[in-house]
Amino acid sequence: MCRWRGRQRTTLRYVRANATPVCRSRGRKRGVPVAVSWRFPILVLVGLVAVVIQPTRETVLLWLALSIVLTVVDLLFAVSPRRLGIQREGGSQVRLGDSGTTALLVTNTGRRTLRGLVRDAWQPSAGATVDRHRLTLKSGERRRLTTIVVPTRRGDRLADRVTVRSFGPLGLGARQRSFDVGGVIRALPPFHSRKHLPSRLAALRQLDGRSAVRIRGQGTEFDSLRDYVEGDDVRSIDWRATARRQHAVVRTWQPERDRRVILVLDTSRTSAGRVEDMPRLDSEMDAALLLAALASRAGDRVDLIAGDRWVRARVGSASRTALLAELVQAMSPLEPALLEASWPTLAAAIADTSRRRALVVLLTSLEPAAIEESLLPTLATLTTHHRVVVASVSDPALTAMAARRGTTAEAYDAAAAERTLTLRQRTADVLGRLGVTVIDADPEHLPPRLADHYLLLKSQGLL
Amino acid sequence: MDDGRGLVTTSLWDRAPEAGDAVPGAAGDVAADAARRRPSRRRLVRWAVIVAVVIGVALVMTWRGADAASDVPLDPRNPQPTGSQALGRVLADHGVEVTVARGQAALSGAQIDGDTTVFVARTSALAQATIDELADLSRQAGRVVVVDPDPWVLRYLSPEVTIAQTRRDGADLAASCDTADIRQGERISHSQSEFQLRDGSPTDACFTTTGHSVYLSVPATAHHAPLVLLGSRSAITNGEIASADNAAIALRTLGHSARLVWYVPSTDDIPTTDQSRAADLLPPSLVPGLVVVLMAVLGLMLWRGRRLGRLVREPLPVVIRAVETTESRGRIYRRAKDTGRVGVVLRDATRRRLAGYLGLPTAAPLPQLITAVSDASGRPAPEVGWLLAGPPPQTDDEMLGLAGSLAALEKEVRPS
Repeated sequence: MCRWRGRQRTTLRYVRANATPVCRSRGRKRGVPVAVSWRFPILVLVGLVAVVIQPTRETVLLWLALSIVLTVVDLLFAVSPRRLGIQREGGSQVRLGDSGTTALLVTNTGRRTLRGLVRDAWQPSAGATVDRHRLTLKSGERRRLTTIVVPTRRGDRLADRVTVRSFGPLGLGARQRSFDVGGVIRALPPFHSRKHLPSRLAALRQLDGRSAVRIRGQGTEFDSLRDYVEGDDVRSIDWRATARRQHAVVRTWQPERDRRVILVLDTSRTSAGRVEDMPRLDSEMDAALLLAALASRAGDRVDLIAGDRWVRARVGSASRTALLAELVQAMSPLEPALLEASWPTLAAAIADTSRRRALVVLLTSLEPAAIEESLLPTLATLTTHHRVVVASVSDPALTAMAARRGTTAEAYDAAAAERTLTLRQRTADVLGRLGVTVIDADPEHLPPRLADHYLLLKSQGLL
Repeated sequence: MDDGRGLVTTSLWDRAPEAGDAVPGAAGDVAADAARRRPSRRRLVRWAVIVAVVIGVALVMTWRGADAASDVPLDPRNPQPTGSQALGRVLADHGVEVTVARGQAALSGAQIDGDTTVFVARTSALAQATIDELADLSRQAGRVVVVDPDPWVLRYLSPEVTIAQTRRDGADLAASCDTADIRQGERISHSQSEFQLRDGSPTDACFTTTGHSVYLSVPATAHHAPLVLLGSRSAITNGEIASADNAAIALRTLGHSARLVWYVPSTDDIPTTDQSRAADLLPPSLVPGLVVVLMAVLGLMLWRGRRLGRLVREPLPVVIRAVETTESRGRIYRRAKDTGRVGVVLRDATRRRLAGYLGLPTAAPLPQLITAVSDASGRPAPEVGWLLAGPPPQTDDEMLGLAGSLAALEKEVRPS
C-alpha cells in the first residue's frame, strides 16, 4: 500500500530527498457517508421520560427504533452533497507571518435548500484555524466561503479535501461527503531583513552621486563633469575643463553598472540545521533577498541558483521590477535536502549562467567536513573567473556555550564549542587563502553584513 | 449498636446535671453575649426556627406512626377502603384473639402454638432473611395464611408452589370446590395471583382455572407449617370485604384457630447482609433508563466521533538544531573524561583569540604571545605561560579551574 511519492529511482543512493513514503489506500475508502447531529443523542435521551412513564423493555426498543427511523428519514430528506458545485477561487500567496484568504465558491445546483456545514481542510501549517462554515443555500444560490490562513511555515501549503455535511429538515441526520477541490497557498519567505534596505539604499545613493571614488580603478566609469565643491578629491579635478571655464571642475564617476551577481543557495544537509529555531536555509534566503534587492537597485543583474546534489531552482535575467517577486517565488518551495552538496554541479551551473566575471555569493555553512570535501577543489577554478564570497550563518548558541564555564559539564561543553569554533575558523582561513571573502555572522546580522560587503566592493570598483 | 448509642446519650446527659442549676442561666448569658456581639442574630434565629420546625415535624410524624391509624394498604389499623381494619375488628368480635405483631421482634414475642393462625397480608416488606425467620417462628402454628404474596416470597417460603400473576379483576369467581374454608358456589370478587403445586399432588384448592388456583392449601413440610395461600388481596380490604362472599371466605380462613397473629412485616428487620431484595429497592425504570442513557451516550459518540473530513497529514521538516553535533561532542569529552584534550582545546582557542586582540598573527611564536599578554594583563609572565601552555589538567577540578582562569585572562586583556 505504501509507495514512494516523487520520481522513483532504481538505486537507493539516488533516492530524491523529497521522496517521502506515502500510504495511500487504493480502494475507495471514503468512510460512511452519513453523520448525526447533537440532536440525535438528545432525542434518544428524551426517551427517559417515556421510560419513567412506562418502564418496560418495549418502551426502550420502541423509542430507539423511533429515534433511528426519524434520523434515517431525516437523512433521506437531506440534500445530497453532490448537488453542491464547489470551486476554489484563484491561487494566493502570502508572505510568511501575514494572513491571507482563500475562498470557495459553492453553488446549490439542487432543487431544495441545503443546510449544512462545509469544512475547507488545509494542512495544519497553513494555519486555517477557522475552516468550518455554516451554510444555508437555497436552490440555485451561490456563496463565497472565505477561510483565513496564516501559514506557519514557508513553502507551498496544500489544501486537503472539502467536506460537506448536509443536514436533513429536522437537523437530526446528515449526509456527508468529501471532495478533492485542490488549492495551494504559497507562503513566501518573510524577508525580515528588508528593514535594512532603506539604509543600504541610502548608502548606495551616496556612492552613486559621489564626485569621485577614492580608488580610480578600472571599475569606475566616467559619468559627467560638475563644479568643484569643497571636500572633493583634488585629484579628480579635470584640468582641461577647468581651463575652459572660470572655476574648477571635477570629473564625477559612477560605480559600474550591469555587473553580475550570482547568488548560490546551498540546500544541502547543512542548511537544515536550525539556528535560533530557524533553518539555516531561511536565514540564507533572507540574506540573499536583501542582497538581490540592493544589487538590482544598483543596476546589477542578479541570478539565483539553488541546489544541493541537483539544481533545484534557478532565476536569471529577470527585469529589475520582477526580480524580487521571481526570487521569492523560486525560493518558496525550497526545502533542505538531507544530501551532501555537489559543488561541481553547482559550479557548472554558475559557469552556465555567466561567462563574464561576476560576484558569486555562496550561501552555505562553514561546515569543515562539507566544505573540505566538495567545495575546496571546485573553488580554485571558481575564484579565477569570479569574485567569490562565502556567507555562512553562525550559531550564537555556540559562542554562548563556549563562554559558559560554571560547572564541569559546562566546561566540557565549552571545550566542544571552542573546538567547533576553531574548526570553523580554520576553514574560513583556508577559504581566505584561496581569495574568498568569508562572512560568518548570526542570522540577525548576516544580511546587513553581506549587503555592506557588497557596497564595499561596489565603492571600490572591485566587482 | 443500639446499646452503644444509648451509652453515648446517657453519658451526655450524665454530665449535664453536674453543672447544677447554673446551667440554664449560664446558657442564657452566653446566648445574650453572643447576640450582643454578633450582628447575624437574625440569621441564627432563622436557623433555630428551621431546625425546631424540622425536629417538630419529625416528632409529630414518629408519634403519629406509633399510635395513630395507618394508611398502609392491608394494615389492620387502616380504616380506609384499602385497609383491613374491618377484618380485624370482625374477627375480634367473633371471639378470635387478634394480636397484631409489627416487626419480627413482636412476632417472636407472640405466643404461637397449634391453635394459632399466623396471617401475613402485606408481603412486600419481606426479604429472604425475614421469610426464613417467619417460617421458623410459625413452625408450630396451626396454619399460616398468606395473601397475594410477591413471587420471591414463595420462592423462599414454599418453593414447591408456583405462582402466576393474573388480572381477573372484572368478574367474580365462583367456587367449584368444597373445603373447610370455602363452600361450593361461594364467590370471590377479585384475584391478583394464582398458585399451583409443582408436583401436582392432591390438596385443597379452589377457584381453579387451567390448574392454577386462587385458593391453595399447602400441606406442612419440614420447612413450614400448613400454608394457605389466597390470591386475592382486594377480598380482605375494607372496601371490598362486604361484596360477594369475600367476608365469609376471609373469616373462615382466618378464624380457623382461637388466636390470630397478624404479622405486619417491616423492612427494618431485614439485615444489611441480605441482598435478596436489593434489586426490588431500585425503581423499575432504572434499568430501561440506563439503557436509554447508554444509547444516548452511543449517539453522543456517533455525533462527536464522526469527523468532518479526514485527518490532514503534515509533511514535517527535519528538525535538527545546528548546535546538536557540538553538544554531542561535549558529551563524548565528558564520558571519556578527557581533561587533557579539553585543556588543549581551551588553551588553543584562548591563544587564537588573544593573538587576535593583541594584533599578533595567528602563527606568532608562543614566547612573543606570552610577553604581550603579560604586558596587557599585568600578570607575571610565568603565570601567563602556565595558563596558555602549561601541563594538561589531570582532574575535573583542575580543568574547571583552568577554564575559568582562561576566561578571566581573556577578559583582562580585553575588558569589553
